[in-house]
Amino acid sequence: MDPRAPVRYRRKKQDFPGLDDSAIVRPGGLCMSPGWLSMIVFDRLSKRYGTFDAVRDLTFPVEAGEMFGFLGPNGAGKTTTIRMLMGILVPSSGRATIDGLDCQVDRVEVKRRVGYLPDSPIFYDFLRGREILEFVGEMHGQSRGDATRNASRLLEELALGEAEEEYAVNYSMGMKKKLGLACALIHDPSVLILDEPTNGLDPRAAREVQVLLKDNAARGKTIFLSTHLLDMAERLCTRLGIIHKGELVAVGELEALRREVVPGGTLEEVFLKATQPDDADGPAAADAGRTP
Amino acid sequence: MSASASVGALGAARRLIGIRLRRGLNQLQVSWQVMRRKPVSGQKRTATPGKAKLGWMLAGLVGLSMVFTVGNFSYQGLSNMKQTLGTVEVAVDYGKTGGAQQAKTQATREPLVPAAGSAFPAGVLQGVALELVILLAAAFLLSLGSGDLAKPDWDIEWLVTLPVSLGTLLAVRILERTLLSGAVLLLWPFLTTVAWEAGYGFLASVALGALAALPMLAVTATLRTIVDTGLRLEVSPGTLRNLQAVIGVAAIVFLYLGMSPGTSTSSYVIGWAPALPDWVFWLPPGLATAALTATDKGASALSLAALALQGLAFAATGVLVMMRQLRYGVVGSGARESGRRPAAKPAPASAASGGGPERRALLTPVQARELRLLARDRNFLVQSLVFPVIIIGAQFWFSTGGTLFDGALGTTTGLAVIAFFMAAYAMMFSAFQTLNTEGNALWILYSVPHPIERVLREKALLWATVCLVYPLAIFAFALANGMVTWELLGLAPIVLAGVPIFAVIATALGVFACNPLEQIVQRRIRPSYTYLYFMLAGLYVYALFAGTVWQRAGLMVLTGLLGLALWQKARDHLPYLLDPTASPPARVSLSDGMIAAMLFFVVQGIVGAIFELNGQKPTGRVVLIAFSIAGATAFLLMRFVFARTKAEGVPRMFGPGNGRALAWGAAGGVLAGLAAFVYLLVARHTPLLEGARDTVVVGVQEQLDLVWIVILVVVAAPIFEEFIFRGLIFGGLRRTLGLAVSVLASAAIFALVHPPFSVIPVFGLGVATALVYERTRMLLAPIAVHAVYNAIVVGLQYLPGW
Repeated sequence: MDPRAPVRYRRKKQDFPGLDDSAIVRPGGLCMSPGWLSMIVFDRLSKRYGTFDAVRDLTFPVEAGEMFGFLGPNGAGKTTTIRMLMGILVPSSGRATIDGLDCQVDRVEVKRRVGYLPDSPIFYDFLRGREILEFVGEMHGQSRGDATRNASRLLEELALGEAEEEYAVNYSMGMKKKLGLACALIHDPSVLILDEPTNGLDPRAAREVQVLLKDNAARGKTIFLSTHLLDMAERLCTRLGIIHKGELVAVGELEALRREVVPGGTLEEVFLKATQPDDADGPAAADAGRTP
Repeated sequence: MSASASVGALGAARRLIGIRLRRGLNQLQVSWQVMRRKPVSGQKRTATPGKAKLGWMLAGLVGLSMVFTVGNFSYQGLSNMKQTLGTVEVAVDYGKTGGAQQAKTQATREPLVPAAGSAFPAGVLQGVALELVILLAAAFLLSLGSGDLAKPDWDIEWLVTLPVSLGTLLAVRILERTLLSGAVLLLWPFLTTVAWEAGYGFLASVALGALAALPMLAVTATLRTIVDTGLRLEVSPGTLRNLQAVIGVAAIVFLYLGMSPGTSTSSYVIGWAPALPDWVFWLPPGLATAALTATDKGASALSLAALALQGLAFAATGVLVMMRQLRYGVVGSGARESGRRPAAKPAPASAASGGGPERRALLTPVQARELRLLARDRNFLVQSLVFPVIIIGAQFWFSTGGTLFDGALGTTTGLAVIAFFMAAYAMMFSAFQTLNTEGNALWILYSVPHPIERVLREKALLWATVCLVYPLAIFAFALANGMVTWELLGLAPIVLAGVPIFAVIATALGVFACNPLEQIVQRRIRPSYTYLYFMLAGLYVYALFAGTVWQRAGLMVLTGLLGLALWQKARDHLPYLLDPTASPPARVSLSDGMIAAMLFFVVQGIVGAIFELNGQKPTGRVVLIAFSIAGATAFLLMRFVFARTKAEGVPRMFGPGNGRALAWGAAGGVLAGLAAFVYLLVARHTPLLEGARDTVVVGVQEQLDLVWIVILVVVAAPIFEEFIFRGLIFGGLRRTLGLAVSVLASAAIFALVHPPFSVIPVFGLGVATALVYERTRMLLAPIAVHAVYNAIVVGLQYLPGW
């Protein structure tokens, strides 16, 4: 077999010895669904910086069409995880796959399916917002005309039309974030990976972005977003995962998390319980509904 | 309500400089951790270690060679001044009038008496002072040109939020820039040389040089801070960029002017020195000259004190000026020149949407973007396209004393060298910077389905095309001036082929040189790789001077393969660019092959030399021993390194189907041997080839005895050479290239390391072994080919009638 050909792992469950269809029970009592059917699969993904474990043994799936909220305190490993999905960082061990493609090995194929928004997007000097967006479109293989059309549409949708002829380095933080989102959406990807999508946006823009994301989810896109805005997560996400000190401490639908971690509590209480400093009583969480 | 305790000016200065030093120390510590490869124990999260290892060694070597170069220039410059300005022509009376006009007057220059109270004559003092003025100007302009004037320093906005007075902050900034300035490399060696020549001991000269340099550095630091902190607020960013482009050019001119006395006695500096006005001796350059050359210690100390006072006064005035500049805040509009276009906007793209199929664009998106940036960023434009002309022009102009057209452009080789160097320089600022120009926006390339290697390839292609303009223009100039000779026609292809080769080398080295994670933009390029690039360019220029066609072709193939090897290493490196800790896993690549081949020949030479020093003749035994030691060294060392680093893709010696491999080998060997037989038959009837054979082959072989040569060529040579040339070089090429290119390139380098007479048959052998290796994927087969071939060729030598 040609080693350069992209390897599709999807629907070959023997490739995932850690995942099988009867759901996995992790030490914390976590249960998960069959991973080999999922859109994004984390398979014992780990990243070490020197002696520091930024992300440790992350294993969970994200289903197709799901809006998955990735929560965690500052420095918990959210951005590191997302950067490994994008091939910006190289995993120390384990792997992540998107649509059955390894995020490290099939880097290019993965990008065809994924739109990415970094936590603080930085753009080229001396290029206008519209030009950057068109450039990204063309790099996705669109013809110049298509890229121009898609760019104008997105700039209007995100209310950036006013500033499209300004150099992007002069944009405010929120405008840069919106331009980054436009770059992520320009090729109409089936998966969106968004790092703090509403950070730095004004209330109106934040609301607009949330509506936009909901629309995209309704059209069947898989959305993986990291945030620490709990109300947004509560409103938008179908499922949540909480990462603490590099380890996944809870994953499941909001209702299930509430039931298992803090019966009758709010998401904030769940978050605080799951990420409390000493792990004396051990976090517990469950994936409701999917457990057979 | 509570307020933090106030910090005095001195305390603030100590803390501000302290944090700079801390940053530097942390960087050192991180590299130290990497070199020791020892994990830091402890539970707490520690600083993430870096990943550069070789960088330090390279940086050390480069630093040493730079100190040596500048020191040498200073010494040469001063002695040239003493030779011209410190002597006087004495008209010798030959009994006729006009005797002074004759060439013999050269021999009659006599040293002048030193000026009163000084170690040097007045003319030399003027020369030294003028040189210092020029170096000061160059240091100032270079420090301005290196940064980005339109952007504030990365930390100034943060520092002004601390409860420290603006005056203190600015004073500390000047102090810090005085102490940690790169300009010290220009001034200190020259001042030290002056003190040394004035009769001080070595250590005293170094100390005095530093003392005299500090106030002058304070002057440049003040001027620089005024310009880059204050001017930014008052001048629009667009103007500032244009200004910076001009400054960059001026800096280079001053730099070469400052270096010119070191290269020629007819330098402009020496010509202008007598016109230096007296008041310059009351300014820092003059005072420094006086302080270092005064014979009286008291006068010397007085001058030094005056110099220090002037430096302080200058800095203090500077602080006052800046406080006035910054009275409305430290950040101006904060914006770049606006991208808003004037009224006329092109028709909206939707109008074109109904059109027919899109035309295939001439340029890829990456190339189009690069050209657009080039058109908008004047600094980039000037640096990449105008600098090469000015730098090369200035270098030749100042070193030939203004006779550029007679000196350098007049000779064919000079013309070719200039043509190549202009392109090489231009690529230094363009192809070399491909990753650097992406800057912090590199993530965009990681988010699109377009391999970064392809981005680099597209950029390399673009810059190779753009930079070809320089040699083509120069050859057109030669054509227009009727300077085209057969020699030039021979050199032109080397120059033109060198441009794409060096576009590849520059792009690949740029990947290693660039650290996209570095905060300070100016430090994102590691200078040691720049230096390496110029060394390689210098090596290639050697091909232009090389005598024979073989040497030229050899250097071209070698440089081309080197470019491929670097590219492959860079390619392996790309997925790890933005990762602060991970490095690519060890993998056998072309560069390993190049290193092994190098090692093989160097060790062979050394062992041979040792035998010769001991009085041994190069008999068969000696050649065999040298060859075997070299081969075994290269073989074992590479195997050791591969085992140590757990490298992937180490060539196998044996494998399943050994017998089949031997059969393939024998067949290939017989074929290659037959080809060689035919070649030898032809050669016998070709006087040219027969001549080459006599000089190379037979001369050595007379002294060889049969047994040794059989062992050498049938056993030792195949094993070692096949491991290097097929296992590593062909295998390395094959990793990234197609079969045909890999076979031809590996056969070419294999042929080139053999004597000219055997180049053609050995090339055939290279093709045969590579094909057999490709087929069987184990080294046993090509070793068999090689052994059979060598046996046939040696056997032929002993046939009656050969």
